[in-house]
Amino acid sequence: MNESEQEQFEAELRRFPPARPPEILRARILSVKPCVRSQVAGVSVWRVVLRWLAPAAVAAVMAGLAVYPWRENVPAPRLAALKADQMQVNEKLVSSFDAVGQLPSGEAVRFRVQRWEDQVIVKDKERGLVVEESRPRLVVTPVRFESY
Amino acid sequence: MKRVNGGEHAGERDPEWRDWADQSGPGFLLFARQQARCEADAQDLVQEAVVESWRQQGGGGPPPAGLVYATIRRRAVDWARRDDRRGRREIAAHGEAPEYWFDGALEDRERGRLIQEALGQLPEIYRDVVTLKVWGELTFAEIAAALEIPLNTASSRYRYGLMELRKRTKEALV
Repeated sequence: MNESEQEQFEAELRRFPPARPPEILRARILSVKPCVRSQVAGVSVWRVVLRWLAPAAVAAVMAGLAVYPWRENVPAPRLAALKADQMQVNEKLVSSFDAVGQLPSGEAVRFRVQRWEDQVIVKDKERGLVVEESRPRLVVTPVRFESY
Repeated sequence: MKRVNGGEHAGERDPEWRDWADQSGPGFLLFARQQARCEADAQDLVQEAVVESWRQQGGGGPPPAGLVYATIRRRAVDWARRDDRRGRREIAAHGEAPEYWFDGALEDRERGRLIQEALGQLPEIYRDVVTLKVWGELTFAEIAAALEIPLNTASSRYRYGLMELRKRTKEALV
């Protein structure tokens, strides 16, 4: 291949530009920018607190959902009278999406957010009674290599 | 945490970073896709390389493209060495369709796919140099620094790699 052929072939190849990154990756690249500023200007304590507040609130809500609702919505006298002969526990994935968050250090991290719906069905065939409860559940998983 | 499909990102307001991301991002992702085992790995590689490169240069504006490419490659090697099991599990979990590496008009889509296949079949040492030169638009000096090879080696690998690629894509491009 002589020089002219090489240049022609390079031009042919450049007719095919690399595919644009998906929007989520572009956002992750651009998210490097604010962490640049925060490191140069000094990290505000309140900013750090607020960054952790949202995930902490999510965790608190999840813990509350796990403990609270089952006892409240099924009154004690009914439970005593109920003779459950069939019980089903189901879970259904309602939605799933990726999101970008930031660690206190400013490093951007990808999260996978999944909304699940947990369902419990208790049946008392003898009395023809069906008790059905559904609760939403949010699972937020950081997707970083250190997490594997 | 911020949902990213729609809405404005903080760096979006900075034209320097925005232009840099739009101009260099496709090349970074193309190179990372060639180094990584799956699409998710490739995207993580790009992001982490940008963060690390910026820190390494000590702040300021966007890092030089050559430094980001070098970091993508170094990290890919580290990850590949670290845990084979994780890679296999992730590929199985994603089960994703192969990504198109190149843009192009609809009628060129098939030819773009042939170039992608031919590139994928090139030995890595040639593929890296060809990708960085043609699509990364780096100089041989920058390529040599990024891949930690002598300048003459970068140049000769490029010529050989280009010849091989031409052979493999002759029917598609001529």
